[in-house]
Amino acid sequence: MRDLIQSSARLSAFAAAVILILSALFWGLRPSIHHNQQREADRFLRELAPNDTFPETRARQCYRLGEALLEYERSEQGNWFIRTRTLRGYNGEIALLLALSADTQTLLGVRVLQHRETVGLGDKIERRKSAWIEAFRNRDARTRFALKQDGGDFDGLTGATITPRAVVQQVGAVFLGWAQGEVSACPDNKDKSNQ
Amino acid sequence: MTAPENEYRKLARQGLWRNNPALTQILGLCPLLAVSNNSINALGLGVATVFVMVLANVLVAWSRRWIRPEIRIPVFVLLIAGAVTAVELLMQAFFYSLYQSLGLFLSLIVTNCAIIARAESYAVKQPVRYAAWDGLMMGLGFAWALLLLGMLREILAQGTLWAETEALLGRDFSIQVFEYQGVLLFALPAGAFIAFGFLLALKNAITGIKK
Repeated sequence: MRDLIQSSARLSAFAAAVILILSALFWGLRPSIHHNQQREADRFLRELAPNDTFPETRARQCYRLGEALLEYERSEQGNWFIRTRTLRGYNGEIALLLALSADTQTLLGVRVLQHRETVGLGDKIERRKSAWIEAFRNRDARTRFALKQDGGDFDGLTGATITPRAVVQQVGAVFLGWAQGEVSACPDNKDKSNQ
Repeated sequence: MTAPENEYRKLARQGLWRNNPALTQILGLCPLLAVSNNSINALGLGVATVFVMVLANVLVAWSRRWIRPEIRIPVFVLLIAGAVTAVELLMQAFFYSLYQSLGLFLSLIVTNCAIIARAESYAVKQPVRYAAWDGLMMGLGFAWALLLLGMLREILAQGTLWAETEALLGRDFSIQVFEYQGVLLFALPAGAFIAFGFLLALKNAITGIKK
């Protein structure tokens, strides 16, 4: 009995120690990781709108579209850069960055910020893995935002259906909602600067 | 108890060749076959695996006094999973490009049985310095087998070597070895097994000749 207690205590102690250390590491590294993610998002901004410039202080603002709260910022040229996410990915959340023209009627392009899709299959939504995401370049409201196999205008990905479908659906919903002016102010008008 | 230098040399011989985790012990096939589809993936994951093996062995050896036999397996799994998570976080913070290329493969390292095998059979009974060296040698042994397999499969399936290195290494190092369509089989799991089988046969042949 004493052995059992001692073993359990030791195991619990190990578990607690590992959890503590990993938590410390996570919180300590969070700024660095965030900085890297932000740098990559900025790289995507340049890819989507090469000639755009941004003010010194980058303020991200919030708009509400249906149930969702979306962060966006605008370049000095007036183009919109909207961040959204879909939970319908094969393996969870996919974070997207959409670029819209200043008049909101043209979708300039899309980039995937974060995802957990299958390596080699679903991860082809990343620009670095394939050019699939460029299918969203310069689209307008007449586009049917669905996969070709679902009656729309977009090619799928070999070996992955759920992933591209989730992306196309989400991009369509946000772009069309924005273009048709269905956005409204967020509940307490959250303004985030430099995050 | 062998003299220190002999122990290091013995561990090196074991880890890199005689008792190679991939080619002799035939462990860690899950990540091995999944990531060996091209050279750059193999290189990336090989490096990550070396780090994790050293870290895991060090953690196990360092805390061996407190690991009672009946709880050793859960503790090993805890330490190894913790080591992989730590490596993932550090990579996200300091080697973001590499982290993105490897993606979920990094988490796959946890399933590499070679790591827990070394913890169980060596690290838990040895001082930290020997365990660390063993982790390094076994890790490198796994890594070179992985790299070889990766290069082989890439040549056979795509005709290139080191394609798509921009993300990881900054510039394009790709070499077009053959100008041809490529044998798709070797890009797929079945081809991975077949290619690996041939590597095993080759190693056994060389070992046989040495005797």
